[in-house]
Amino acid sequence: MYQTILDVIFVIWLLIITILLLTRKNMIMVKSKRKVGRNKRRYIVFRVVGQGELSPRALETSVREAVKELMGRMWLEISDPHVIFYNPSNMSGIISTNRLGYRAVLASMPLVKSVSGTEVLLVPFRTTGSLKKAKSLIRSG
Amino acid sequence: MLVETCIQDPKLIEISSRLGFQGYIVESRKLDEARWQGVKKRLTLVGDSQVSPNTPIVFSKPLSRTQLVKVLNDIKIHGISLDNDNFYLLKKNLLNLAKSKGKYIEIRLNSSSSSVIRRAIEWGYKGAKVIFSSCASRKSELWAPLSLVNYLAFHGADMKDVITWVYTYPLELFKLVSDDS
Repeated sequence: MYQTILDVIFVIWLLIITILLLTRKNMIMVKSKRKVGRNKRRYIVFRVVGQGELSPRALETSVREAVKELMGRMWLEISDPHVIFYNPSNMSGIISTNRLGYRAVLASMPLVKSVSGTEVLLVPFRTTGSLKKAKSLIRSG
Repeated sequence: MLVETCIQDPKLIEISSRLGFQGYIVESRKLDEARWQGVKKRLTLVGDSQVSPNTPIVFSKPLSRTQLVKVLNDIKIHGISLDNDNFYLLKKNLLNLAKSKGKYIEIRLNSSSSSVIRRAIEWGYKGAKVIFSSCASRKSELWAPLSLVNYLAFHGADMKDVITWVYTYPLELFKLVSDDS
């Protein structure tokens, strides 16, 4: 009689452990899936130190060349930088990139030595996750 | 206070201040220290040159192992300047000597390849006082602090150590010289 009761308790104990292990394993899997996250946009607000008129397209070409020179084609495609806004009056602009690649863009910016034959220095001074905030930073100078 | 540890043209001080720097160590004979605030003079000796008596900060760029040993044992010299030409001179025993003598190891960003940067990061992890200087003579050669931090992070450096190399050691050098003079 006692033996049967002990067997039943043992089986129930094993079942509980199995269920706990399986559910915890699933929880870890769910967490790791969530960790990947979305590759959201990041906006780099920068200033240009230099003289002369610069076009956003020429700036973008120089930035992309610099990223390719430092990081290679793979990081250029991952970061995919675009100059989406440039204000010639205060020589500030916004580079659109993403969470994975914004550090690559920031690290490559000192390699931009000239844009359309004009000697320049690109100075990043803030990164933000919203375009509205980036534009307000440019307006506030 | 962020300190730019090497500028070769005093005209770049104004541009550096727009990058966020507040202290400047300038290597130029044309520099009038009284005109600028937060500016110190420096001198880089190349090879076997002798120390001039009126320069507060002295670095040396050794070109041979003998010169490097001599420089590391010279109390008048604050640190060594390394780039692609001479980084291979600093072996393990001389790195330990540099650490024990408290010498700064300056890496010239514009003439150092990624392998030199990576080696410097390893020296930094071993406890050496590593600093990164632009030694710019033109505005396009200057490095913004945010770019430098990310450049080092991309070479595998730990962010906490990067802050020490970019912020703490240059400030320490600047203050050390301010205290001396």
